[in-house]
Amino acid sequence: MLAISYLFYATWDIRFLALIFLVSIFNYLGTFFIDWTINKSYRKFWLTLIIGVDVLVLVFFKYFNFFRESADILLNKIGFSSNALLLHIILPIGLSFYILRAISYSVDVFNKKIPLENFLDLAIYISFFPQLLSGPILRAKDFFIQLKDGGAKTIENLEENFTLILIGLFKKIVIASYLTVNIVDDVFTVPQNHSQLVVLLAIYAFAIVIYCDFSGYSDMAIGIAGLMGFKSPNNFASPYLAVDFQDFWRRWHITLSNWLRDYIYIPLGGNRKGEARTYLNLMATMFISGLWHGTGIQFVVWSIFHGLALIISRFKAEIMNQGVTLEKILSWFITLNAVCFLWIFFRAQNLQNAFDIIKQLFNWQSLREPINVYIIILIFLSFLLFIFEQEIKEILISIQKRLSLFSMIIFLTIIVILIIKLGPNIVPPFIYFKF
Amino acid sequence: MNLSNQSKSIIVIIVVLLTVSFYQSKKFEVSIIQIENPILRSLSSFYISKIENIKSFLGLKSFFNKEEYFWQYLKELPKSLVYQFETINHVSPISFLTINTPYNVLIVGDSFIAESFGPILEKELLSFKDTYVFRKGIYSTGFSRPDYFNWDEEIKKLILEKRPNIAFVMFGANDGQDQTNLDKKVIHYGEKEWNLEYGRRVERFLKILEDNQVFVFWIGNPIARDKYYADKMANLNSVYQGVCQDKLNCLYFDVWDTLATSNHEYSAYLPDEDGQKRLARASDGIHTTAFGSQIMLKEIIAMVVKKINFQREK
Repeated sequence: MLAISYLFYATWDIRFLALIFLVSIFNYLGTFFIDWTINKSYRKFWLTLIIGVDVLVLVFFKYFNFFRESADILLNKIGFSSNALLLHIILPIGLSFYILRAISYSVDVFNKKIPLENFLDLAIYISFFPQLLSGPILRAKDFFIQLKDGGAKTIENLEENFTLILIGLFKKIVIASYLTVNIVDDVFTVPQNHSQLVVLLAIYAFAIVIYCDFSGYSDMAIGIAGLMGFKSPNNFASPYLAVDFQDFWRRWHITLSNWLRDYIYIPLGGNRKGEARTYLNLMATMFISGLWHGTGIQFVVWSIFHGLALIISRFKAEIMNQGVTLEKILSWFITLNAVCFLWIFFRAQNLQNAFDIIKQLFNWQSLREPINVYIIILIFLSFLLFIFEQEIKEILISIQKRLSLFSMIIFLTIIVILIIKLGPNIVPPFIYFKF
Repeated sequence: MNLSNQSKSIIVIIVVLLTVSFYQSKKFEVSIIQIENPILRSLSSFYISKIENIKSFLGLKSFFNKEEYFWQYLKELPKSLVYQFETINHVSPISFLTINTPYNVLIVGDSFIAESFGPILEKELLSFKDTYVFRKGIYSTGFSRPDYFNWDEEIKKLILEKRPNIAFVMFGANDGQDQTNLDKKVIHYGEKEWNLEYGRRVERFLKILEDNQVFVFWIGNPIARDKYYADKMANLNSVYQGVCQDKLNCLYFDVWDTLATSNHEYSAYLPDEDGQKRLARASDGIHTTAFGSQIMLKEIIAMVVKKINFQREK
């Protein structure tokens, strides 16, 4: 399993292997010392060291290029040659995800929630290839139980796993790629050259793209892991049906939300230290989530707005009556549109670009521009998919269950070919690969 | 036969992968040039060429071509309802002297136009008076593989739809690959005949623009990091320059050295106006960063305004 995962990772860039190996070995040694000593201070020291180094690795690779130019200018101003900083650091794909897995393992060993594992098992956990690049973030305790149970020997629900892969492919190739290539990229790069209506459509289109791109990847990762005998947690649960921001984060990138809750929000005090502190903890957690996602200031803005919206949701939940249908519909409508609006900051190349998009959205004298009919149809179909995703999955599973192996191969082949045919010629890379 | 789920999944995955790659070999073939790992690139190329040979041997090539056209037609159906055929009055010859306002500018090309240099050029041109800009950059496209994406057909549609009088064109990053000529003969990259065939295609593309009174600014490719790409880019640039200089409606911009050091070498970092070195090239060693694009833009716009009377919006 480790060989397959490393081989898979090496196909992206062989240099990345060295880093993942070093992260694995460092976390193994650190947790070995945590387990070995009973002295509380030493245990804390080792945990702090592990988390510190893991975070440092992440920050270095993620932020080096972002800060390089500022440092360059500063060093020049104080009279130092900046040539030493002329180094371009490539962010190793999947680093943000495997660092989170490594940290959660070390913290769980420290808290004695899981026993110390041997190096090989830990290295497999950190580099487990279906989830290496963009999650879902499977917890150590859930992974090791399955690894020890034999993984691939116990494949269940073959049809369900194939269905997840098909749905993931459809979301990525047909919906996300088409909308990215045909509206989102053009409008978000130069919003000034598009009409108000097209900018509005592009904002909704991006909300669909990011969901289909990321949940499509998650579906495929869960499906492939399932074919290897590993059950993974769900990463999405119809997030655009959320009735407030708290609900949204319970449904969006669930494994990251849970990770942030367990390893940041709760250690900060969670909701146990009074109202004011709870709100502060929420803001801090969202802020860290923003920094984890990207390096531009626009991600900070995005996370601050989400933090504020979470506080409002929490506050609203405490003072308002729940269960009124009309109120829920209104709340859903506001949440959906607020989430879509905030995606502008997430997709924009920088803060200026985000403001340009917003400005164009309210530019009543903007150009008249024809609209591609396919885009409107696809946006409409996507919203239907969000509502009926579970039902579609069940239909596909029940069809496969009635088929012989031979017929199943024909059925799957036809659907995969149809998906490729319906998609655009170019399939852009997964958005979350850059995180 | 009672197979375990493990055996079933392995059989299904292998058979589906083989069948889909056989069926869709043409689509995969185009992406091969973008695989950076040379071993993977060679292996994929070998595998796909074998599939193509099998298709030829079985006489299936024509079926797959027709099938591909059907899907392209289906996907473009709503657009084709919008287009109406119109005859364009031919007034030749065209040169930059005959271009009047409003300036309808078309920017077309590959990934350089889709995401790297294109958006920056588009923004800049939008800052001129009476100037309307439409940009279409399509990844992994060029003139080598019209069976995958036909730029001749696309430019005809764009001309009808957008009525441009100026075009900025940039291609090449994906074109250093085998071509099949009209006699169905495969011409491998590096063969003597390759440049002639490629030149014919560039000329045909330019002729469409010329016949429709569009003046073309053809942007060459900047120096690339890896020799594998740099050699190809230099060769393609020579073709563009050669074809362009024989045309009245085309002006070629050589930007090879614009993004090179004073020693004419590749560098990811280049000095800005204050002499500070800044990252100018993307991690692939081909595309440009925003700063690199700005360097190119400055030089190109300086030359363009000498030819066209662009006025800044106040």
